[in-house]
This record gives sequence, structure tokens and C-alpha cells, in this order.
Amino acid sequence: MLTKRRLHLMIKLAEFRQDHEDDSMRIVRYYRSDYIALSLIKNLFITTIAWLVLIGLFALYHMDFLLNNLNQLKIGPLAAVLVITYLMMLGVYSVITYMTARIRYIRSFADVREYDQKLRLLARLYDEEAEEEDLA
Amino acid sequence: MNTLITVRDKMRALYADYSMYIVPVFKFALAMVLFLIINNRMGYMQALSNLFVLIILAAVSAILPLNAMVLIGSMLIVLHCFGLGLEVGAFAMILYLVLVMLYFRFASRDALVLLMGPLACTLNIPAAVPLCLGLMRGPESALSAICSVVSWRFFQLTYAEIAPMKQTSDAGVLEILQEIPRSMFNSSLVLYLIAFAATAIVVSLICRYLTTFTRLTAIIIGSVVFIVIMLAGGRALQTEINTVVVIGGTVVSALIALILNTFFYTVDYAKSKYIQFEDDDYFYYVKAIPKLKTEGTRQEEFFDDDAIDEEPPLTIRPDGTGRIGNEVDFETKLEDSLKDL
Repeated sequence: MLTKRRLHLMIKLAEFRQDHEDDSMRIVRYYRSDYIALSLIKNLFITTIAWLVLIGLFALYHMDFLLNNLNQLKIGPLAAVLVITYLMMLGVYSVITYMTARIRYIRSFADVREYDQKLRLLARLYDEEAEEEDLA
Repeated sequence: MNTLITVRDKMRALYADYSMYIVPVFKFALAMVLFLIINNRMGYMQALSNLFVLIILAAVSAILPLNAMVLIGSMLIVLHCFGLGLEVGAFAMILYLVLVMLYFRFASRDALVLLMGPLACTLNIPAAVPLCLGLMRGPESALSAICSVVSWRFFQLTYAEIAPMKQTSDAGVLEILQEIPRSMFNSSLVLYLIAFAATAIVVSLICRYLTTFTRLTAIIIGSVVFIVIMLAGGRALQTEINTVVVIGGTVVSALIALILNTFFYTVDYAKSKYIQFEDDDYFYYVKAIPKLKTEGTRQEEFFDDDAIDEEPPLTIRPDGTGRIGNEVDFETKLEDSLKDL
């Protein structure tokens, strides 16, 4: 039996699912710590690649200087500078990634929690209608 | 004023009924304009200079999400750069990849500025980008404005300096690769970066925090800030600035920002939705057409919110265990059934 109230609720639930299947509902399948950890691992790879690209561009720009002074270059301090710049860049982007992942998860969880409550209300409406049909 | 409100309401009604057709048409038009300007200024790869190729790319952009248009436009720029030279194309690809990796993976909504920056600056209305960003987003939009300047400066550099250099001289690969960043990161870029960032921050702060000012005032103040920084900064950094073009372009940019603000940014354009779902008995095909409600009214809720608040929260963990409120405890029921066995 179709009721207006149940139909309205089903439409709202389907609309939410259609709009948020690829973002909020995908995110809350993880625990919060797992989602943040996954984001930080992705950040590690992306930041490392970006750092390598930037170092490569810097080296290309100063190629003349590097080639002329190759014998005078001190590997130790150079390696230390490279490692420090890498760690600084990774640190900054890790903090940004942690904050954005945490905020995204909290917002998604709030949306899906409301979806769950409406879903439970729909289940209760189905049960009530089934009881009414049994009594009838 | 009433005429404007009437026109805006008619636009909302039209969008509510025909959004399925209006949105792709707008995206197609925007994509065609962007791709035509890219081809007009660059055009180094003959295969992409064909109008039919652009029409197909614009049609694909119209049906895919907005970031697909950004991806296709960026690829068009990169491929034209490859047509100019392998090293130029490689630099273009690396530049756009670095911008995505360092910033746009956090702010993917603003990716369109990568193409709107070159478009606005080519049409001599550069202030339109930071003004619109400041109206739509918060102070963090200054970073998006900076990325748009970098994209525009590389786009301009390619056809204004690198292409003539490739055609007139026998510069080697390394020389070109060293010349690109040297020419790109000059005083003109610094001036535009400061002007864009400051304008976006000023406009967004006025819109967000000063309730006594209207958005119109934010646009006016933002435009003045842009003009002052460009003219004063141009003199301080000894950069060639055409005063008439800057002032005229900023006035036009302010008008564009005002029109966009009046008709788009402050209006709730709800569109018709097509939803389908099923239960055990029926398939449901629903078309939801929004009501055009006036500001200040609240749509009546159909279901009982109090009933929802009385229910304890549902907790279903990713591994499938959980409980529905206090009525069913799966773990206890499982233990009881095992005892019976």
C-alpha cells in the first residue's frame, strides 16, 4: 500500500543516495582513523613526486652552475639541504591533509547519520503498515 | 530594481523547468569560447586547430562534470606546447601537474580558474577573476587566484616570447628550459600575484565579516584595490602598465562581477531532479520540480522530526556488526542462539 508519507521519505532517501553516493557514503565506509591514514599515505606519494619534480626543475634552471662547479660540490651539506627541504614540505602538506581529511570525514558522518535515522524511520513505517494489513 | 527581480525570477523558473538542457548548453558555450581562445593564441598543433575537433571537445565537456572541461582545456594547452617544442610541452605538463599536486587536490572546486585566468587576461579583464573568487569563496581563494595568474602568465609567455624565440633563433633545449622560468617569474608576475591575492582577500573579508557593507560595496572596494595595486606597484617595480587598459578592464570586470552576483551568486537556483528507486512491490520514477519560494519562508517538513530525535542512533560498523537503537542487539541474539545449539 502506497502512503504519501512513506513515498516522500523514500524520495528524500533516494535523492540523498544519488547525490552523495560518491562522496559522503564512500567516506564513512572507513573508520575515521583509517580514512585519515589513507589520505596521509596518498599525500606521502604525491608530495614526494611533487618535490622530485620541483628539485628537477631547479636543477635544470641552474644546470650551468652545477656543471661548472661539479667538482667543488660538497655532497654532505647538499644532501642535508635536500632532506630538510623534503621533510619541511612533507610536514606542511601532511598537516594540511590531516586537517582537510578530518573535516571531510566529520561532515560526511553527520550527513550519513541523518540518512540512517530516516532509513530507520522508513523501516518502522513498513512495519506499521504490515501490522495494519495483518489486523485488517 | 523590480524589473531586475522579475527577470531573475523568470530565470529561476526557466532553470527549474529546463535545467537538464540549459546547463549543458552553457557548458558547451563556455568550453567553445575557452578552446577557441586557446587555439587562436596558440594553434601550434595543426590537428587540434580544426573547428570540428573543438566542437567535439566542447560537446564532451558539456556532458561531463566541470573539471573535465578544465582537464580538456589544460591538455589542449599542453598539446599545443608540444607542437611548439618537446621541452615546452614537457614544461607545460609539469607546471599543470605541480599545480594540481600542490593545491588543486585540496580545492578541486576552484580548478576552473586555471582556464578562466588566461581567458580573463586575454580579454583584458583580469580583475574579474579575483572579484568573482572573493564573492564566491573565502579568503583562501587568494591561493586559487595566484594559481590562475601562474597559468595565465605561462599561457601568455608561450605565444608572446617562446614561439618567436623558437622561430627566429636556434636556441637549444636547455636554453629554452632555462628561459621559460626566467621570463615567467619576473616583476610583472609578482605585481599580478599581489593584486589578485589582495583583491580576492579584500572582497571575501568584506562579504563575510562586515555585515554593514553590501556585496556591491565589496565589488567597488575590490576594484579600487586592484587598480591602486596595479598602478602603484607598476611604478614601484618599474613594470610597463597601460593605465587606460587597467582602469577600463577593471570597470568592465566590476560590471561582470555585479551581473554574476545579482543573477547567479545570491540566487538559489534549484533544478529539477530525476530519481529512480524500487522496493519489493514497485519501481518508482520521480521527477522533482522545485517550488520557487520567496526569501524568509521555510518549506514545511513532511515527516515528524521529533520521531527521529527520540530514536537512539544507528551504529553499523564497517565490519557489519552493530546495533539498531536499543531494540535489537545482534551480538546478544547470536550468543543466545549459540547457547540453544
